[in-house]
Amino acid sequence: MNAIALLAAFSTILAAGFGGLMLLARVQIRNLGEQFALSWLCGTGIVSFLIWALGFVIHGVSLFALVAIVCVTLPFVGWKINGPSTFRFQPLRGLRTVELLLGTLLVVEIGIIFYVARLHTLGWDGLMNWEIKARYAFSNGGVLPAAYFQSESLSFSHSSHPLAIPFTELWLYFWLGEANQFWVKTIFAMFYAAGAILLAAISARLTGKSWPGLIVANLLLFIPQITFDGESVTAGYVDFPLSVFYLAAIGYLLCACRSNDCQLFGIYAACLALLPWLKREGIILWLVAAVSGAFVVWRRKQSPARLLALLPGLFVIVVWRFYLLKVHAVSPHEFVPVSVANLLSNIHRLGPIVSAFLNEFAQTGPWSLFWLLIAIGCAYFVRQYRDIRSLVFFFALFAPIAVYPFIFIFSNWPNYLAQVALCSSRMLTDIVPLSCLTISVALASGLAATHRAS
Amino acid sequence: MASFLLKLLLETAEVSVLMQSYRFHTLAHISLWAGLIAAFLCASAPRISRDVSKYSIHHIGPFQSTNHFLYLATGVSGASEQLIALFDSLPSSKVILIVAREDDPPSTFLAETMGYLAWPHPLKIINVTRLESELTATDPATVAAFVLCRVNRPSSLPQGEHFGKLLEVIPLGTEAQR
Repeated sequence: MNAIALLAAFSTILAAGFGGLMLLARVQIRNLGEQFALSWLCGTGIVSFLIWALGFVIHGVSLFALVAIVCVTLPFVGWKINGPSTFRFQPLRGLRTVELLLGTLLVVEIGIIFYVARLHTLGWDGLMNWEIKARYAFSNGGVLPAAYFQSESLSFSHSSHPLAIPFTELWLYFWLGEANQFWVKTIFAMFYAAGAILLAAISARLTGKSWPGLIVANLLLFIPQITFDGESVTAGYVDFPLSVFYLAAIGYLLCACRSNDCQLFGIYAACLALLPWLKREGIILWLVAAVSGAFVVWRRKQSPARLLALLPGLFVIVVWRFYLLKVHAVSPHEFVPVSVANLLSNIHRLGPIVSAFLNEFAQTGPWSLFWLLIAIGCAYFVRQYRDIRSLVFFFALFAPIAVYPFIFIFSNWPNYLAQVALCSSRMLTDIVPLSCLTISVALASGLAATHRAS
Repeated sequence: MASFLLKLLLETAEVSVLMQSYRFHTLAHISLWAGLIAAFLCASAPRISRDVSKYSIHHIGPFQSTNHFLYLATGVSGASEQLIALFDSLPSSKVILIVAREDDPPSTFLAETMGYLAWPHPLKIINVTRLESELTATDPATVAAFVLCRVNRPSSLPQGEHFGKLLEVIPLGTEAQR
């Protein structure tokens, strides 16, 4: 019974994403895997935002039913508008043996993630920062009560974090008919699947070959911090889902750099809008991705109308801040208010913080040799793309790393370096899938030179 | 004719050198990345296998995670359901006062888990140093229960329900109990 409920919950999310992409961004992807991954990302955004927005006027069964109707209706509306080509996908016949093998291996790895997610418990933050919101909203007919935001004693659950993941979990609870810490972990395995597939798909678009992306997508499983660590995707932490949205936003922007493709820019715009809806750090990633997008529009002399793509994300940021103000949400205690006085009094922390952040790259426990591969891959990326793509890519890769240490200048912890140590690995997770593109470019570029020569 | 042949020979040699250079380049490229990826996999494998088994538990249920945390903290199985049943029996408008030690992370974690389970009761998590003053200042009629997380019970409070040695819930919510 739970499996059927799970299937229904996932299908409706995918349907909402599929329809939403067609209607809002005019996007039709012919690759089934890529379409699945993008539909999942956009579906979680649409469903969670709909539940939150409609929750102001209805709740309980009516809220559940209305969101379900919208989810099912969206692809049909898209089909009516776009015609029979809507559901036409590329056959798998064109794939080479090596690609089929790598693809099969990737499917097995995704299966392993689902299996391990089943065995692991939610991590502390997965439970106390994210699932708690879904549970409380479920017990209140799908609406988070204002009392939750106002409770000082519940401030440990970071009530100011936005609701993309909690309300996706809530959607699962609606279908299951109960709050369930066991089944909720499947959502994160779905994000892993979406992330790995998107990594392969974006790599293929960038390099023109499928196999390098498939190799890199297979390597993702072997980064402990991402997969099986206590703070990983199998423990219900939101950092990996956030990083997948960031990969999609920047990855499709890079692809749109070359082709001026409206659809690719549409995907960038959709993922950009959802970045601040996932986590507070999402605002920083949104800002970086928005600046990157504006730069591409300016340098490529594209229509300024494309800058409108920045507005939905801005809308999400403003509306969520306004909502927190209206419900009198308790401010997080881990940071002092951002002010010039606090900046000047704590600026001496910057050196140790940056040093701690840089030290994180050398940690082989959570990262193995991942950052070494990325460092070498970066050299290949620069050599391969001596144009705007390198500028955009490296800005998107390094700007978050440059900004994150500044946050801890305002740390309210007695030992601010302990907070840095706790958060730095999670924050680096935000750029992991994106940085993986350097490996696929490196793998593809070395052999491309040989092919050109022969 | 001779000069043409010489030129052809030279060009062929040049192409051959170029090809060899590219073959060397390809070989170096493949070796580099095969080595890097192999090293990466070898370095990851022990940690991955350790993490998979370290965090694995085989209890399945709607409270899989909290039950696991509470089992580690108190030694009691299925504690989440028991605690929720206990909290549900108390008047939902009254406060649940959770007492913890701020300087003791396991105590704080236990208190936060209690906070998670006690919803929709209004909550108050206090440090043990404030317990006496809180007892004096608080009207008992407004408190549904005290929850002591790795904290000794003060003599002024009646004995409550124990969950292992380190967690005690003292219900005060009903008239009869007070």
